[in-house]
Amino acid sequence: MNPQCIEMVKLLLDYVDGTLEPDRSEEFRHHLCGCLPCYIYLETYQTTIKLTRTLPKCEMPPEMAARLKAMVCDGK
Amino acid sequence: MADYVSDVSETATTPEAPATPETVFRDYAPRIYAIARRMLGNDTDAEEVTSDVLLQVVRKLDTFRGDAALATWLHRVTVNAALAHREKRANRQKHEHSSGDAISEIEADHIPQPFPRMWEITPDASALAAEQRKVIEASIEQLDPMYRDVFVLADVENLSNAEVGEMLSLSVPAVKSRLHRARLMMRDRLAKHFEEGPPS
Repeated sequence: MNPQCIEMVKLLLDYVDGTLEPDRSEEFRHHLCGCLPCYIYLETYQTTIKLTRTLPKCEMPPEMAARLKAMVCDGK
Repeated sequence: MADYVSDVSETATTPEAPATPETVFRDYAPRIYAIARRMLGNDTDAEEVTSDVLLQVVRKLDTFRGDAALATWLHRVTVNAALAHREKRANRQKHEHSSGDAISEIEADHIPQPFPRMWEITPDASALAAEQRKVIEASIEQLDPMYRDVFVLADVENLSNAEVGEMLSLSVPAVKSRLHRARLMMRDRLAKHFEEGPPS
């Protein structure tokens, strides 16, 4: 990756969130067309976000749930 | 113990069936625990925070009627309790080890890996394999708390940058800066596990 790529990486969040100014967005897309590493970087950055959002809720361990329930419901 | 629920009456205005300790536990304990667990990174601390928040809610049951805003409000209460818990723990540790270098808000520029490869995982799968989930959870736990808090609230809990900023007392630009940094660190960690093999 060259210095321009490093600059592009700094814009990823705004690009992904759709808050990048139109000119910068166009510049970003133009760079992606000619730079496979940046294209892959963007894809995997987006995959990171999507994967995180598919995580299920942390399940409370059953013993902890039993302890907390007893404390809340029975005042133990 | 700090009072995290002092303003409960402001949010509990809908005249619905009164909550009971059982309904509070059933409806809110899993969510409170899930947030605390990801923010604090271990079960012991998450249990303390969950019990702390639940107890205080139960003590104020008379002002608590299952208002729709309650879930959002509990979110905030849990975040506050988790932050307070971590601060207390950090103060204890400071007495034991006197390192305590402040983490700089602005760190060195992130240098991306020079030749990234596509990943062998797609986020479209309806359910992640247990092993993949473990890798992602472990990567979140390894984030420094200043990045983990923002990442958990924004990308796991799906809150807006403004909501995250309000909960953590950060400006929106600071939230964005930390979130970006957290995502880059997460991407790099996940790449080690999910990248396709080198081209033959």
